[in-house]
Amino acid sequence: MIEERLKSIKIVDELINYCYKVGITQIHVDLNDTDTGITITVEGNCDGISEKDLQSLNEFLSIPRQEEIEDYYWELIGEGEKNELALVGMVTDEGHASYTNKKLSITISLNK
Amino acid sequence: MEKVSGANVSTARGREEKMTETNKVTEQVKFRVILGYSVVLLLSAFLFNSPSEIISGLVNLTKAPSILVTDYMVVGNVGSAIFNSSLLMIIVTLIAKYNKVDFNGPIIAAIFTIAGFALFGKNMYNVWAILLGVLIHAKMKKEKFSKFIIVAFFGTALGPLISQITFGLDIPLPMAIIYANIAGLIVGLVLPALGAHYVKFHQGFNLYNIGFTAGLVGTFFMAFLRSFGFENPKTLYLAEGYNRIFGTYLSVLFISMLILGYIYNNKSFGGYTNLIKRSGRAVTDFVVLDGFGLTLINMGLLGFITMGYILLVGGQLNGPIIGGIYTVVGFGAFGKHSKNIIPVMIGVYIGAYFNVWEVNTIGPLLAALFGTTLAPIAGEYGWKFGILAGFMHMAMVMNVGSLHGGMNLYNNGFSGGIVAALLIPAIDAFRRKEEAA
Repeated sequence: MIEERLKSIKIVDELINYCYKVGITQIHVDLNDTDTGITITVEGNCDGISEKDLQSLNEFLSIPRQEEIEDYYWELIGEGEKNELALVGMVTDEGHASYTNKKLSITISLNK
Repeated sequence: MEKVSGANVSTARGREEKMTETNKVTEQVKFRVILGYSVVLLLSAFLFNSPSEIISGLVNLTKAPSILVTDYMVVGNVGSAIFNSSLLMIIVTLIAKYNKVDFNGPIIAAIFTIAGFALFGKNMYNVWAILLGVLIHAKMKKEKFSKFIIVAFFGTALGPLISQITFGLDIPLPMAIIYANIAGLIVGLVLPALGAHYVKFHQGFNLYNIGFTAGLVGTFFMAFLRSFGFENPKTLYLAEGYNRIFGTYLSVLFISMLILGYIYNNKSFGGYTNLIKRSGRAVTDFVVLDGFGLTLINMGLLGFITMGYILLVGGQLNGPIIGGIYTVVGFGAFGKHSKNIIPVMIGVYIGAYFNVWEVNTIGPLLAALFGTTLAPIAGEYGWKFGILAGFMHMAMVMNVGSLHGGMNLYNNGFSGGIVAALLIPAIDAFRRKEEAA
């Protein structure tokens, strides 16, 4: 339980870092911790994101969860300026990003 | 690059679709391919020695203290070294399958690394206590063993700790076996926690993270042994004169990887230019990101590059060197590719050339192969920093072995962790300053 919460903090860091990189300066974070899992939504307005970048983001977030990676590497998430979105995909169960009316919205969920 | 501004765009794809795209090759096929290689390698042992010679060789190499550098092709024989290597490869492949682990990058890297080091340090005696220790760690945390399987497999780097205490310290054998296996259990118990923590030390730029972790643990055990008056002797057993036969043997292996990769990549080499754009920093799983076919192609290519380097500088193909080649090939599934390893190898070569070592002696040759643990530095920051990392690694790796008395087989991973931890924060700091200017 504690470890899942620590992971969620790291994931929020990573997603905020991504938002900064695409030029979002007003970032809204919504974290919902329930008995069954944790859902995180990070969103904000930006002038534009390339289709290729959005596709790449979705590809990373939709990588299947890999337990053998999770316990060994999760502490790398949210560390410094390096991109660890693939790792976010590997430690989460669902991931999705959309860009609608100039708003980028990233949602991930982590089952307990 | 086309920008999408204000339009309604949602290109999210579900996990199932993603899986079908990159995982066209099923887990069953990947398992069969890896197991197939293990079995073929096992059978190839009989090309070199008779069954009775292999058995006697296995007995000899299993009883060897196995500290760096012990070529099992010398203390046993060529056939027994290959048999030992492929038998361990089969066992860990079956353990992974039994634990329902996906045959993705890290597992493939671990399996080939074990196969490589079972040519010069890991054997059927010295790996079990460490694996059991990790299993107990998992049970104590009420978790599945599969969650720690990568650490368990790579953790066998400290196998020589068990062999050295058992056979190398002149302790009565029954007591030596008990002490050695207790030490192995302790290693297995602590490695998962330490490995996960130390990965932050070098920020994933040292691919042999357990090498760094095992280096620290091995340093403690060596200090402990020295405090009781024990010392490890300098060890160097190396086979020579097999370049032609192993050159052919390995070429067949790597060509088969290229062919299989080509077939599984829809009869194409397409996509490789995308693969080599990745930095390789942990966690870069080529099987997940680029597919099994391209990964096999990358592995085959790395095999030719590393073997080519050894032959080009006049080195010898023997147990430790082939072990190094297998390890690089394995990490061709997990972070290493032709673009990010070559600068590091050049850096090691330059280092050895200008330092006091001969480039074609065992230390610099192993540094050139295993120094590619720092390949992500070239991948992330460019070839110049890759060369610098290799240059620094050459000096560092020749100095850290004595700390653990040669009991950590991943000595280059230990050195690589230190080099990455020195280099990365400095590069980042100057980069930030440049960006701010």
